[in-house]
Amino acid sequence: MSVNNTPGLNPIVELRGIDKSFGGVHALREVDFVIPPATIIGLVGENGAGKSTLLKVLCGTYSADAGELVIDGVPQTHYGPGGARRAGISMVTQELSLFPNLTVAANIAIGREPTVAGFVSGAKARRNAEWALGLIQSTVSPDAVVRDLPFADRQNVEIAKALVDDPRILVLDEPTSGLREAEVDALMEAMRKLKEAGRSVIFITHRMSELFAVCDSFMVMKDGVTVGTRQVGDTNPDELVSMMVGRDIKSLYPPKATVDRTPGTEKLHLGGFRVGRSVGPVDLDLFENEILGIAGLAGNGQNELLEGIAGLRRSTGTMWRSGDPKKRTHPYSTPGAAVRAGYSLVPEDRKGQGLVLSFPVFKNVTLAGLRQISRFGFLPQSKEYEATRRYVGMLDIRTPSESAVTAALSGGNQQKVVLAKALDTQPAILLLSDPTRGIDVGTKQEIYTLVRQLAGKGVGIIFLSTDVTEIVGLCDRVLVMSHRQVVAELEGDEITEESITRAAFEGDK
Amino acid sequence: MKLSSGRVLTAVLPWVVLVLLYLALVAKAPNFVRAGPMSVLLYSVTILGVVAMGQVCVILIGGIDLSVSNVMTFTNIVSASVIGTLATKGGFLGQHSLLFAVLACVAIGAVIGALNGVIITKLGMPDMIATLAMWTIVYGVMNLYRVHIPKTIDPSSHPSTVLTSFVTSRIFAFVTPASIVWIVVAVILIVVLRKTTFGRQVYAVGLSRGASHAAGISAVRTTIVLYVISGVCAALAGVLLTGSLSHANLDTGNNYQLWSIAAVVLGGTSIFGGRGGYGSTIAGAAIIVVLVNGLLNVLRIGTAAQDILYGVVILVMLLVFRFGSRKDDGAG
Repeated sequence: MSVNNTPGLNPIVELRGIDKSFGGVHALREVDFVIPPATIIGLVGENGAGKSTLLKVLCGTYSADAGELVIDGVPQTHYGPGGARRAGISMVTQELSLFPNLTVAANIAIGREPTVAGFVSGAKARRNAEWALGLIQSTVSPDAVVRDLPFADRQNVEIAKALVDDPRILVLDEPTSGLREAEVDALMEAMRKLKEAGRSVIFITHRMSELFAVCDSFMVMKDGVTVGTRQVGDTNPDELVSMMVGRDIKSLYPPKATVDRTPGTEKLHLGGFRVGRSVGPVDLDLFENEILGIAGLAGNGQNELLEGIAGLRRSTGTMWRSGDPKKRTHPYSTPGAAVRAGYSLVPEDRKGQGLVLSFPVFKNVTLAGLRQISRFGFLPQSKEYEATRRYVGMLDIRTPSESAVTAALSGGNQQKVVLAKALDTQPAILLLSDPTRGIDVGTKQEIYTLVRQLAGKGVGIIFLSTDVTEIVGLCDRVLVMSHRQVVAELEGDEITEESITRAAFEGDK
Repeated sequence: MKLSSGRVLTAVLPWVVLVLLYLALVAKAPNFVRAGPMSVLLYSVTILGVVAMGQVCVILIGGIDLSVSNVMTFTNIVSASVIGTLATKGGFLGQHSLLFAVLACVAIGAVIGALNGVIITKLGMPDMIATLAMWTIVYGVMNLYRVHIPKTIDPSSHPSTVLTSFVTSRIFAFVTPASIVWIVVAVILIVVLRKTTFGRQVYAVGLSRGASHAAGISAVRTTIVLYVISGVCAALAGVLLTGSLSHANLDTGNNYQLWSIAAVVLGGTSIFGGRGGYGSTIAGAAIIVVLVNGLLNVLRIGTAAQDILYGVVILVMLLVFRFGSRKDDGAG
């Protein structure tokens, strides 16, 4: 099967019958993938479907066990990353690969520093960086040091680094998950410009709206095989989702709850709550059965607010929860104290804060709840395994065993391990910071269902997300933040994508 | 739990190397199968093994303790002078001079370790810089202190005899009393690192400070506790040094700075923290002693060649470990 094989336009790259296994895991089975010129292809599938493996074969990071890789009609034998670069294939991966202590220009030029008379030319590197950043309308200064940049800007630098070579094929593996809305638009505009210039783009994202806004065609993968290919005019989001998941997803979100908001029945109360010097003051009440959403444009203090409640950042003001045996009324100054008092956080940064990646799964599951599981300071391994098995069953974590290294799991399953760790502390208040970022639709649905169940069982839920659609679908009440303040509170039918976005932008003025 | 080939290699290799080196030593100097020379090797391993206990703890969280050598020298001097001064006085103090010497040294080690920990965590100094500074400071302090003390202690005094026989005498075959106490404590340390909450926190902090912090584990507390352990271990090793040497000097601990680090690394513990443990460190310490106090001595090759050979052995072992850890990564 081929994608958009317009007669007269020979494909730039053809992958034929690609097979790839890791140990006993068959990651790719006889996958065909044709990349014609001047096309934007959306590669879709759940986590672990084999998308990233396929792209790594394309970029020469992995060599296929079987199959053929043909570039401009020439079958390649000794390919590798160098071959991919010679063929003009450039990739932006999910893992950022920047040097934090170098400037933006130096990062963009890394490994191919422009020279003048044999000497590395900083001025030329700077001009190249400006040009590449201009393509995606980024306002980042080429002289800024990467360490000082917010996450979204780093992502843009990463994209600019891939663009500066003027690639024939640009591979974007989930580039938008950390970007602000205007930046996503700019990136899509840049993709269209590349296409006009005869270049092709392979685009991975978990956001349907982005796929349909920019792609010409889709290839859907599941469990290492190609499920099918579609032209943008011949399909719709529902069809793609059911192809990805292998079943119909009737409703992504569980039904909302009826919440009794009688004063005096609050589960959690924040009053004049400030995080550090800049966030707040925030007044917030959370009620029984309720999922409270925190929305807003990325980087407006939402994550700091959650970290403040969880004791990761110094906070002031009043904070209490109902049922607290100690009846404390002010915030905690260490995460340990907050965990013991029943507050549990699923942090924004899964790899840096959520998990000890080289620990086996069971050690991550029990990491925050060590105190509860230990007997006289000792850790009974049978109990740890038992707890892990329970969460593996409850959250459907796909792992070879309880003692498999966490880093080897797919992103969605890693996130489930973070959730298991948070739940293992038996929290009264569960704080979720963008828990579905970079996770496939099927897993998202499982997480939504679980969160709703927990809310029903009496766990107070605060759900932060940068994806407005899921805020609308899941939350009973929403606080919109802008400029490190709560600027709007929406309830029931007031919660729409439009009202949230409007509040976020109005607060921006 | 199934162990990958890389991990088995890391656990077994130090012991294999130790046995091979010992066989080479015996082949060259058959004398070393006898209990006397064996016990000399054993008490040297005990002293190095005790410093390395603390060193492995701080290396497991990605730190390093460069101050241990001067802590050893300092406590060597302090214990010798306390025993020497008090023993002649008689009375309660005289009778318990050894106890006072040990208590004084433990206190010194704990204070220096705590200072290291606080400087690293509260002032945000890199471990290497903080402990290097402490190494110099301790050197200065003991120079001040040394003016007031006799260089040697009277070997015939009772407490000194007790200490010397604790370290060097044989209770059966080649086994010394100090080595038995050391092995018991070593087993406790291994169990603490592997089976307790505290041990789990040590590895978690060593592998990811961010994730540990978010999970409510205090890296500050863990770090300070481990540096205190390192200081106390070095101090006790200094007391053992007094027992084996029966004298004190300003350079008695010098070699132990690099030896303790080498013992940990030869035992397969990652210098970046989070991987390894004390079990193989024991083999690492024994390798160094067999090499330095045994093989390199009997080979009659001169100190320059000894140093070169010692360095080459360490490099070769680390290369093999790296090969092992690569296999480990590949297998997932």
